[in-house]
Amino acid sequence: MEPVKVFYNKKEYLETHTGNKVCRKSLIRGSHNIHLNGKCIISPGVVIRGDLAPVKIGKYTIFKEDVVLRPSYKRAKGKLKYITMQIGEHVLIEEGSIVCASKIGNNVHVGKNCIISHRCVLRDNCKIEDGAILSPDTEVPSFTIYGGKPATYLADMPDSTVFMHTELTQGYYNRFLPLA
Amino acid sequence: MWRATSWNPPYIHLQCGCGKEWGLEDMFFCFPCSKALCPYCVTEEIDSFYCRNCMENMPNTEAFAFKNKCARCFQCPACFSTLQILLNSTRQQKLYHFGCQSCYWDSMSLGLFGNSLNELLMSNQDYFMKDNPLQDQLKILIDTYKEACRNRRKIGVKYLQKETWTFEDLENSVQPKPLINPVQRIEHQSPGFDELLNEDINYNEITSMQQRLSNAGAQPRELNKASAQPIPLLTRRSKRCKYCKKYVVKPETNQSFSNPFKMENLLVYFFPRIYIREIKSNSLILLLINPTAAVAYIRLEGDKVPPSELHLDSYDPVMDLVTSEGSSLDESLIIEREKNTISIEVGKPSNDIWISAFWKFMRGQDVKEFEIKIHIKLA
Ligand SMILES: [Zn+2]
Ligand SMILES: [Zn+2]
Ligand SMILES: [Zn+2]
Ligand SMILES: [Zn+2]
Repeated sequence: MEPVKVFYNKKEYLETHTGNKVCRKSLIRGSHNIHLNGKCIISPGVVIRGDLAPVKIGKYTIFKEDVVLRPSYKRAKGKLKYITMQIGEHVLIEEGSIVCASKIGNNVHVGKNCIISHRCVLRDNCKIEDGAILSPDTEVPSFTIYGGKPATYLADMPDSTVFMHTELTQGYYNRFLPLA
Repeated sequence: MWRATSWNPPYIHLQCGCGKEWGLEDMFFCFPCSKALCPYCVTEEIDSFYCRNCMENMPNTEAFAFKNKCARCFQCPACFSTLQILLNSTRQQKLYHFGCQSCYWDSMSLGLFGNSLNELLMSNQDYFMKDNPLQDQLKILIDTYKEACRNRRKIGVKYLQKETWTFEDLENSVQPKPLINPVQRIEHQSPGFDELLNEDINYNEITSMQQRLSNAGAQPRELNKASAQPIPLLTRRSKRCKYCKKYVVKPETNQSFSNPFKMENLLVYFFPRIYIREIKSNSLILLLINPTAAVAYIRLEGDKVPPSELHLDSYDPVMDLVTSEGSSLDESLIIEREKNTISIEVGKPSNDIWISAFWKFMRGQDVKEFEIKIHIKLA
């Protein structure tokens, strides 16, 4: 079927000149530490803890409802130190996932209700299945699917992932329209 | 490999020349043949091996020597997550051992520990890299098979070169020779039902099929006999067309490049996206989107499909520029035209609709044309 259009209430969203659409019902802490590169959608209930460490988010990145972004920490010389969280372009994170990864590449798809633990690295073009729990320090290579509790390697992604995922996130952004 | 093809109706699939049906996302395109190829119509070659945990690339020879497994990384036999090397130090000695952070599996009870990191790795290699007990038997079988293949090829050449055939030749070529001793039947008493019932087993300790098969050599029955397993290597593969043997997909060997492919002739780049916009009682509204950078043409043929040649404009989203070319021969078929998208109406004779599409598109200066069958399943 044709992909559906999603309509939003203009009063509930804040729009920046670079095309970011940020819901007023989201919880964003430390907004000076959060860099949105444009055309991002931040849905209601999203929590971004920029007060812990800087969060850098690439273009066409979509956070669905109740996603939590929390920079991960490292133990250095007996102290906890929070590190920068980097999220690439065309990343789609579905409802209810908690993300503490230190780096997420481009074209990454994180399913519903996942837990991505501290210091995980998700490389380009990978996919995390719904309900997966990644244990700390896991590195997910490109073109793979990880799933399960704890998440392990399941299969390879098809070669068309780069193109299809770019189209998916761009399409979602273009079909995310204000109510007339 | 995981396939993107969806089998939940309503779906739109394409039929490969071999007769199999696939979603657009899983298909390839061969330019020398001008043919859409399904995953079964390409042959795969392994370009390089790498470990999914330490991300180290491994040359083919080394991968072969380590049985396609990483020599440094290990996975938990119970939950398959990566094992950590833990240090258990007391006043007398330091003990290195494997431990799972997810399910708290530990290698101490197996006697798998060492006084140094190297010792631990070596002890596990002894434990795990040892030969499979069935390996010799399997080797005989493989050698025999290879020998048989070689002989058959030889015979084939010899007899092909012969001009005249005699009955003797024919008999010789067909006569089977005993290559290997037939398997002997072993008298084996299988345990009775009562015996199985009364056996003292803790069913929580029995390994699952997945746990057992992940260690095909030992296939432990109880979990406490399962040992740390080296992580199997993953591969980067290039794909060739089965018909002309030319490359279709070639991965980039240098991983620092942003594009993961040297060459990627995937059908998604060249064939229009087709979506169902609306299902009416006796017709169907389809949406066609041109993904290429130039104007393309499509001709549809099928039951209750108006014969037509339609053009699809191209659209560049970065420049926000539409490249158009006048109007089609019969513009009346098009319900709506917007940027690179057209919507058309086709008849719905049943829930299974077959349409032949002739698709013509530009690639650089060349015009490419091919035919493909579209299968629309509604329920
Ligand atoms: Zn095929
Ligand atoms: Zn490794
Ligand atoms: Zn485990
Ligand atoms: Zn070919």
